[in-house]
Amino acid sequence: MKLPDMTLSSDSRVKWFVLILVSLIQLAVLGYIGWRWHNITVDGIPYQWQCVPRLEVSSFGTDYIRVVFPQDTAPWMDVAEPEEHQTIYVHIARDDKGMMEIKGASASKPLIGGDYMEARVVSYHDGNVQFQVGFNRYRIAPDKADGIYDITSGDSVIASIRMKKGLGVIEGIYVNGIPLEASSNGAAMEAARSARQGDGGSRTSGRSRIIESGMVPPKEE
Amino acid sequence: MEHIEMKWLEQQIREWESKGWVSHEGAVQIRHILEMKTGGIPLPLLIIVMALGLAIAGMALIWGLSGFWYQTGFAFRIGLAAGLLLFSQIAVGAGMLRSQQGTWAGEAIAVTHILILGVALAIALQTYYVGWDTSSYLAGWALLSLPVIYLLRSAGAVILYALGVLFWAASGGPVNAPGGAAFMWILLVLLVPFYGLLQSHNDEIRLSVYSWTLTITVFAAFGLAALDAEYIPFLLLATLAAAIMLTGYSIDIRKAWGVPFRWFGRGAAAGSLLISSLPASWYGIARIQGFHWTTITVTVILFLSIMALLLKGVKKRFWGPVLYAGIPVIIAAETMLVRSGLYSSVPLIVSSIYLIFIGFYEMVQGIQSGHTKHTKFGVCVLLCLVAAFFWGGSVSPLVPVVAIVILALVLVQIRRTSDSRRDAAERARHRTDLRHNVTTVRANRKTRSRRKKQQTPVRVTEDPAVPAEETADTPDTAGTADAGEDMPEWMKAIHMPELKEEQKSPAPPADTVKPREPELSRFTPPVFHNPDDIPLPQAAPAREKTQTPAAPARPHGSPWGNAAPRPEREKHFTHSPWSSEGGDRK
Repeated sequence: MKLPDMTLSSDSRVKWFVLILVSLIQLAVLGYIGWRWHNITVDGIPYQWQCVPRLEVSSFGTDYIRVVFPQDTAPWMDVAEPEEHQTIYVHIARDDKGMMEIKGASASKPLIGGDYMEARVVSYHDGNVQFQVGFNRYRIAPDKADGIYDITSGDSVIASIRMKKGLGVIEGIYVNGIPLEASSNGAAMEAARSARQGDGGSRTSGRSRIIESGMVPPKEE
Repeated sequence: MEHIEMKWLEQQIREWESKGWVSHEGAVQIRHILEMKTGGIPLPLLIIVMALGLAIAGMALIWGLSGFWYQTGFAFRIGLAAGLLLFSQIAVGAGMLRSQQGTWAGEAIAVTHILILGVALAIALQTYYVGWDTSSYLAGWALLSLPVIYLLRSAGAVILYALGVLFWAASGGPVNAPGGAAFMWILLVLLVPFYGLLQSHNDEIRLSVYSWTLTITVFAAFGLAALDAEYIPFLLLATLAAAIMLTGYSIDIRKAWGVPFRWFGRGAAAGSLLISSLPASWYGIARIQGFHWTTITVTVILFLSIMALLLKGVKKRFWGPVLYAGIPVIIAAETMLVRSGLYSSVPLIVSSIYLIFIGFYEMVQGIQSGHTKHTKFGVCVLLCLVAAFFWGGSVSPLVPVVAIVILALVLVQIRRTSDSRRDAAERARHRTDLRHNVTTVRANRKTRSRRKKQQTPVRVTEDPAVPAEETADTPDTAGTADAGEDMPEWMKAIHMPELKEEQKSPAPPADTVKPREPELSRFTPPVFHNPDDIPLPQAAPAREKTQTPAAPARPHGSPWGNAAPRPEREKHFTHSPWSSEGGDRK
């Protein structure tokens, strides 16, 4: 059996080296994207920020909801006016309750010790800049997103955020201190299902129910 | 089943026709209707139904997959992305191993790899979401896909890369990119070594694809980046255009891939000059604080490359490239003038005049060398200039001046062209006439006069104003006059005497060249005599005088040495052809 010639010229050796290097870099980029997210969720500084969740409209459904932060303006701290779509750094801090406070916005990062978040300029007017942050999605199972419909204007809706090096990840959304997922039909169905399973266990012990728990409306008004 | 039914129907129709129940025409009509009704679904309808069906099936598939996708965890998603990417990388390696560089298979592998890379990146970024930035995504995708262009020598990958850069520029990428718009140029410059790679492999098809793609991308990206700029960077455009055009001129004129460089560069250079001839374009230049350092750097680099190309790269052709290379120099000088606070009409006037000059230069180039593209380009340049002045939003007092200058130059050029054409035609005719000798000219004249004589009755009937007798009596006069009209001016003054032999039988022009008769050899071998036999010279003269007819034995030496005296030619007095009025020649 004749073996193929596996000797490589110096030119092709360079090509193979480049291919291997490029492949590793490409895979490393994927790895970095995942690592960055995990790093923020683990090492990021927690903040709480008032928000308004909105259902995302899509033909094929989504597994996340859109999160709008009403506090989207900050005093501009630089002399030169910002451009539209320019990346800026919003200087932030925490108050006594752990809520996020916006100090101002600048084209440069704050000095050592100051926390910040990256944002894009939407508009600029009278020394105030309107911005939009990148972390505007909260991942949620499709069957647990309908708790949004129960939110009223008087409710306190808080997003729990982890921030690191200007990037943020939304850990959870709480409506009056209760997670959004917990106030959904999906959660009620799950609770009912688990209750049914519990009932099934008790049925075997001889107790009977007239109405199935799944038929009960999932939430009480 | 349908076939059987058709056969039965055909039999029935034939039977009805034979029985006389239906006429022959009726049977034909029935057959026609049957064919129409049983012809099946027409093709367009079938295509529409198929397309709709496929679309519905595709949507159902996506819907089902998305339902499944939302139930999957992060690990599955990133694993899928990495798996897809790894598969495409292995395919690239296999393509390299099988030496598929620069082949259709290599193209397919490279394009697939780049698309999968884009999908994998999108999956990762959407799964581990910290914010979606289209421009960052496109920049990363383009940079990561660049190596495969070189590894598999793929022109398709170049197109995808160029599209990525264009979309990146359109999505506002230069605003947040490191170095601003300079990053866009870096992304495009990364493609430049690919030209050398293709040239080293003499891959002409990919070279053409590459040159067209890169030229279009450069100018489109420039336009997209300029949309966000505070001013129109026409100085940068002019330097870029001149550099690209000179690159095109450094390529062999017969090679197809030099065409886009030359013509896009020429067009962009003229366009930048056109922009600089409008007052509104200078307001931004005068208003800004200062040019960005990247703009200045790129401009300087391009200027240096223009000089290098002019000195070394450009072959054979010189004035065209130099003319266009002057555009960035002029605009740079005008910019300095405006930036130094001396804002006046000088830049507008200089740019306009130079543009008019370029327009006429291109037109003349096209007319002289027969390249109509140059002529069209020149005309377009002039028309665009006029249109820009009228519809540019601000009418300058320069408009009438430019219009007058253009018209004057057009008229001068037309006159010069027509004069030179007439002179060239005259010279050509003169040269043709000089080829004839006196005999052929006279013969031609005779032929023409005879032809006119034959045509005279027709002319008589055509012109009722002239008496028929008068015209019939003077055919020779008319013929001679016509011949005189046909002759050039310099020949009309010369009067040629007519020979008698030619009057009798005018030879056609073809007979004027008579083949030379072969000369018989007149060589006489020398005869050696005994010196005693030679008669004394005293007795010789009387005999020698009598032997003069033996002269033909003379041509031992040069025929021109001692020519024999010619017999005197009989003198013929020339008669004017008008003296006899041609009456006795009928």
